[in-house]
Amino acid sequence: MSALLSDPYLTYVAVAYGATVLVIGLLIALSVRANARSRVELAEAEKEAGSHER
Amino acid sequence: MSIWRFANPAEFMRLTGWLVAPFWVAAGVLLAVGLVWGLSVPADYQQGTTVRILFIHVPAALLAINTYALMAVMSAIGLVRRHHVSFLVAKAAAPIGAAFTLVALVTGAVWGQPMWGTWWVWDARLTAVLIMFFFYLGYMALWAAIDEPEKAAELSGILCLVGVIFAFLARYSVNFWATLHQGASLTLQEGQRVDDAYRIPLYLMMVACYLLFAALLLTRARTEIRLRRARALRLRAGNRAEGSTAAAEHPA
Repeated sequence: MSALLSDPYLTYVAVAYGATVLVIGLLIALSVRANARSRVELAEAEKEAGSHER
Repeated sequence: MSIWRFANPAEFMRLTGWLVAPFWVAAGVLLAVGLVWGLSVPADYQQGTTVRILFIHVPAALLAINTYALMAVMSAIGLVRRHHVSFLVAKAAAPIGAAFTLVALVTGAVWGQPMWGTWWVWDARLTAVLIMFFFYLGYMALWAAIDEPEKAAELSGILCLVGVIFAFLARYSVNFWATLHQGASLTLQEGQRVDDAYRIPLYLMMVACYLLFAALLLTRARTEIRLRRARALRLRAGNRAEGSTAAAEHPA
């Protein structure tokens, strides 16, 4: 543990991995949310189209 | 089976539907293993522990360039064969490519400071990647700025093809000019130049990142196809409602 904390490059490695997790995590979260919303939107549009046909 | 079957949105949704979940699971498992492995490799005799940054920098840079190449191919297919699924796949790939380009730029700068003594140099490869990142942003901005989807797809596709030169330079500039950024470390021609202690986890992270890319691309492409279908249904319903109102106002 002390060897890890005394590593002079610890900050650089932590910043690189932290930034990656932040960017890719945000991308995944936004993609999954957009995917869920598109399902809802398509279901609503299909319902509206069905009611117009009637 | 012809590849053009995928150009039909219904076929694309059917054929890709069962692929999404396995890609997500495989990407998650391999990323977890790759990250733990990458963080626990021994320190390099010259780079120290900053060598661990390369397990994310190299796959991110590779995907940044290859995603742009994919977008260019999809845009060209869309422009030539008028398959709108091609345009939608390119549109879906853009934020993924932009995110990986950003990761490559940030991790490269963070590695460069202790190793090169500077965060940034106007080296041919670094500059080409930065310009490619701006092309990603411009491509997404153009799609968002134009309301008419067909027109947005065409103009964004043309912009994407213009920017392909920077993806090419990002990949091959180190072969043309002797610049600060090193050439390829993993090559088939010159034999093994990276020790197995680093090479194997690096390959693992590359595979994991490609799987993550595939999972994200399929998820986002399916999202775009659903949104396009919803828009088409709404337009059709709107036209039908207008038609019935007009018929009621002006009976034959």
